Amino acid sequence: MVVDKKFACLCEDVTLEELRHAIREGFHDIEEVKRITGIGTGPCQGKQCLQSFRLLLAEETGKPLDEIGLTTPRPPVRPVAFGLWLSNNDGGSE
Amino acid sequence: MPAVRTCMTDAEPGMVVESERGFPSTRYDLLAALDHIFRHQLDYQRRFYWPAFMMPLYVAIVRRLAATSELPDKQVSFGPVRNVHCDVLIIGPCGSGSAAFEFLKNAGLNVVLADGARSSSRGSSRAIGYYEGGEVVVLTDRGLGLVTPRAILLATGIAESGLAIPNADLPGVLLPSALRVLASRGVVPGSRAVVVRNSDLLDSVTEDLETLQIRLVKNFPDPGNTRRIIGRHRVEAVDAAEVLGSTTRYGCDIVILLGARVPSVELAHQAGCKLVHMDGVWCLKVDEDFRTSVPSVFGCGSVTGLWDPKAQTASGEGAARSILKTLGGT
Repeated sequence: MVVDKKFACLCEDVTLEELRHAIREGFHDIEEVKRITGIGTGPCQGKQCLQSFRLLLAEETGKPLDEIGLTTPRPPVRPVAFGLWLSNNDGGSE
Repeated sequence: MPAVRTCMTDAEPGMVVESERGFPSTRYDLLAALDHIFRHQLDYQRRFYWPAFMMPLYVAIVRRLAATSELPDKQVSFGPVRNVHCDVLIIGPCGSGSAAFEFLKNAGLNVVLADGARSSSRGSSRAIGYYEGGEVVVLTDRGLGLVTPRAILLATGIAESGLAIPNADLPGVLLPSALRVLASRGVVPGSRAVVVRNSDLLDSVTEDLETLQIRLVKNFPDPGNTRRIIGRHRVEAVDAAEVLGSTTRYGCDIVILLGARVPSVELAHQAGCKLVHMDGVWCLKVDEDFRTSVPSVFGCGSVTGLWDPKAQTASGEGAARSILKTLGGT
């Protein structure tokens, strides 16, 4: 029998159980939980998982949902090949 | 992409799609034994740091176990970054953005659309970051572009989210847009579907299921009623909780998850625009003239919390009028 897993973040393989564990260890800020578990740091950059993550954080910490902010979305918001950043910025203007 | 369950490549007809291999192969994965030994997850962050002298060995072995697959190695050449100056940059796939694009184009402005959609004539273009001074980097088929617009319209729309149901990572579990893409390409992913939802966006899914002649076996309006998805290599059934604690099994080969609609506010956040919390999600805050809290940045459509398609289109035109007024057009 395969063990059932509830994935919150499919990109980085973070389960709801791992998130609960981190929150119960004392990490109550959305950025802290992101950094300790890696949720929202994969190819989708949190597009699919952020809402269930926020709901769980509200449930576990007892805070209202509107007090749970967002993780910081730094550029690039979509995956970009490393080589592109090495392109020269002299391609002319249009 | 090894060690993650998602990839960025669009599946197209004729393409052979394979999952990553385990050890020694995906089919006979010896590492699956770890799931049985550590029933409550293998917490490798805490389990493998003691005794300290073993750390180099742990790092060498455990990190390798996390990604045993290989990536194809190929030479790719990238073009130079192109600089683009324009009056208005419209970002996003939301229908309101297209309405604004038509309006501003007809008004004679130089408008660039970075919408994330692929078209045969224009290729694809996607805004990937907002930088200081109002510059936006756009990823196109030809490489990166640095767009310097006089005004930006954010019509970035919403993102679909999944639901955390046990085994929702099995092949055969789809989000509504995946079903729509398959329907548009004539690919039938199965014959019997179960829908699990906590949002009211059922109409388009029902339409796509009818187009593909897929039978809707069961519709769960509350994800709490579903215990788990059953299947070994792909979806085979869904177990649902009944009133007296018993379980009913619904046989199916597709599960469609309709999670919350989440406005894509990433670029707005980067630009420093104020957000507002509505219906449980963060939306872009705009005034009656569709201005955000950042000068020269406007917003319209579902990213501002408008769910009705007609209201979205109207907001696109309204925002276009407001931009025209600001830039001094007629």
